[in-house]
Amino acid sequence: MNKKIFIFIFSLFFSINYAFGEIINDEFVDQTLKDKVFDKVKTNTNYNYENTERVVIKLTPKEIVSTKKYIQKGDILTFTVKQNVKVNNEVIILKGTTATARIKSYTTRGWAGIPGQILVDDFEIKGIDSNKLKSTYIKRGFDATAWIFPIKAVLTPIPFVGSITNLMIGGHGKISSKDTVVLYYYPNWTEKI
Amino acid sequence: MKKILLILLCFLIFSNMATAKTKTPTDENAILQSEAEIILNDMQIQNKISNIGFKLLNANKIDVRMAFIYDKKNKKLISEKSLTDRQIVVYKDLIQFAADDAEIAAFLAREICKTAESYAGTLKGIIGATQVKCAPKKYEIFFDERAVDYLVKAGYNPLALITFINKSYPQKRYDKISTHNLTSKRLANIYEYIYFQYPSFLANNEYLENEAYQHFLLSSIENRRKLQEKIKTGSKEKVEYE
Repeated sequence: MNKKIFIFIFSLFFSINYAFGEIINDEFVDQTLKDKVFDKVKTNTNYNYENTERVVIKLTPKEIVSTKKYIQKGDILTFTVKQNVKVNNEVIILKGTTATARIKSYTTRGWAGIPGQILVDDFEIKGIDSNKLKSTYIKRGFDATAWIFPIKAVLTPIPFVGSITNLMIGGHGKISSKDTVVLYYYPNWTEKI
Repeated sequence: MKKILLILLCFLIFSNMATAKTKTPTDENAILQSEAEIILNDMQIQNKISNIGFKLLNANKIDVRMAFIYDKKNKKLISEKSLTDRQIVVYKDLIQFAADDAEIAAFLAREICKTAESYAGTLKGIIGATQVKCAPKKYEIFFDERAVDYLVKAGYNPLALITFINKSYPQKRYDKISTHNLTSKRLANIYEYIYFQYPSFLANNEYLENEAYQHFLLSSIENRRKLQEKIKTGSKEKVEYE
């Protein structure tokens, strides 16, 4: 009997060890990321949005990006500040200062006039706390849906005719130096006590 | 035999009478107490969902209104009310997959992106919402990626989005003519997004011993190999996941 109990415990011990040994390690991550030093991930968990005073910051993109081609998410875009930015009559950002941001995501254009769009975020301007910026920028392409959807609704009762409107394609999302990106800076936003 | 059957019948009747006796005050108190416990439990869940939802909105400075509603009656997984009424309905059937706050946040973050999109475009967002309804497949990956950003900004681990989706979404056979992407494709995209944007979460992976995450690693070997190839070659092309 003791022998049976011993075998049972022995087999149980090995089955548990085997199960732990089965954890798949993400080897590629281990090889490529393990020894790297990363910047601290920027969070925004200590906010107080009581103050309403804000300053407009206008930026001009330096590069051209379009949804026509594949865009690598995370690529950095550079911008130029269009005019001096003042807080309490004091210039805090000079005209011509370079700002950066990241392409976070995008969608390609589609049927029925749906436009492509590019979303840019994580704006960084020297001397400015990015948690005090309202800065998500979305650039959409030519949007034909505002008139295609009503036409489609009217034509749908006639068999197959409504579907013809699906053939219209929206415009590519494109960021170029002709655009003006408007950000809002809230200098008096403080952290929660 | 008849006697035996009669005795059995009597026994059954009396036993039923015994159970169907009038409720005593102590029984009523017990019922009231259990109902109160259910209400308190629902309040706690609702409170948790609202807190996580508003934390995500505040951390990401999303300045449009939306409400978070816990619904335990209707048996649905995803509500369309997020696009029409700007109400994010969290159904019991879906939220029961969430193992921690980060996974609840993962679900809410995705729905917040969708709801925020319903504010975009002309006619007070009607056009924006219709675009999402007409082309859900196009926006699916977009919302997944934004959800990762929202989670990180609010201090949650974005890998929770992978575990939550892996546990709760089905895997269809094809997506060429479907209105949605294959779940495996979405998961691979989220993984790639985290790899490039927030690699520290993968380098110090808190979810490595999570069973759902382990199964994601197991089932995504082919997709991850494609990503490895892209990284090794320094390619700037889109990876076609399966």
